[in-house]
Amino acid sequence: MDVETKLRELLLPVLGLSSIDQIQPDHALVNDLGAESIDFVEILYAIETNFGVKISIQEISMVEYGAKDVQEGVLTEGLAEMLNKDFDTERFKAGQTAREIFETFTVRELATVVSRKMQEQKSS
Amino acid sequence: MTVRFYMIDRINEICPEQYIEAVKCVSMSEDVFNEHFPGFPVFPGSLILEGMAQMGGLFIEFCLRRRGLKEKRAALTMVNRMKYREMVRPGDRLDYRGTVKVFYPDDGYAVLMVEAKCGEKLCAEGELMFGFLDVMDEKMKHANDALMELAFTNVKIVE
Repeated sequence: MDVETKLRELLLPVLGLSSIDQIQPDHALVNDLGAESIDFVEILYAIETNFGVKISIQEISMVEYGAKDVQEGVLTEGLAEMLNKDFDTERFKAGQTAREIFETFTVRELATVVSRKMQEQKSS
Repeated sequence: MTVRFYMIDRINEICPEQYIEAVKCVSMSEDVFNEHFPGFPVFPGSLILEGMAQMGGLFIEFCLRRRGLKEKRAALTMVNRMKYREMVRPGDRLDYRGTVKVFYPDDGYAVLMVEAKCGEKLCAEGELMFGFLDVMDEKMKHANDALMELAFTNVKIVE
């Protein structure tokens, strides 16, 4: 089973949903699926126990990216470009806040973070 | 009047960020035995869980305080694979132990493996997750300080 599908299954009980069809890869965890901040600790722990990789809340909340290149609380061109490249998308735009990005962070993007971590772990 | 619902009687020993041990003595005079069950008193599994969750919450908050995070509350967010193995009856002394599986102050959560034993008999075991919340106001801070002092006075601390 691929990371994305397994992740969708893991999210079911955390988000109180019953069918995997209710969790689509392009759903935003916060805005579409209603994840609360307290749900994220369960999500991180479920990832650690099921995929064997530790992800910090900073990696999901974009604080890590944000700390690199945010001017006056919004994304710069450079950071938006980096995020688009890292997540193979075009949705990140200069001017977005870190909070907006967190609230629109999708299941697929989370799966990307997990896959990347797993690869890093394998190669180290 | 403040009514408290203590489901542990004493904390015996802690090793910060590693383990905690506490005791609950089950007495026939507890109200719960009026209904659970008439003529056949059994200490409810839900109250064993509550005791271990209280112990775990206090322990996590103690560990957070030692790291300078004095205003965090530990909230029970998940109960995993709780299994009740033996009945607990009046007169039993339950030894609770919580062992840290993960403790991530920066990510805001911790997981404890917990068990309840009566002598050598394992009565219950499972896994509890706690999330850390920033909900302290002045009143709660005051009450929490008093509770922590009550809970951890005369407790053996193993470093």
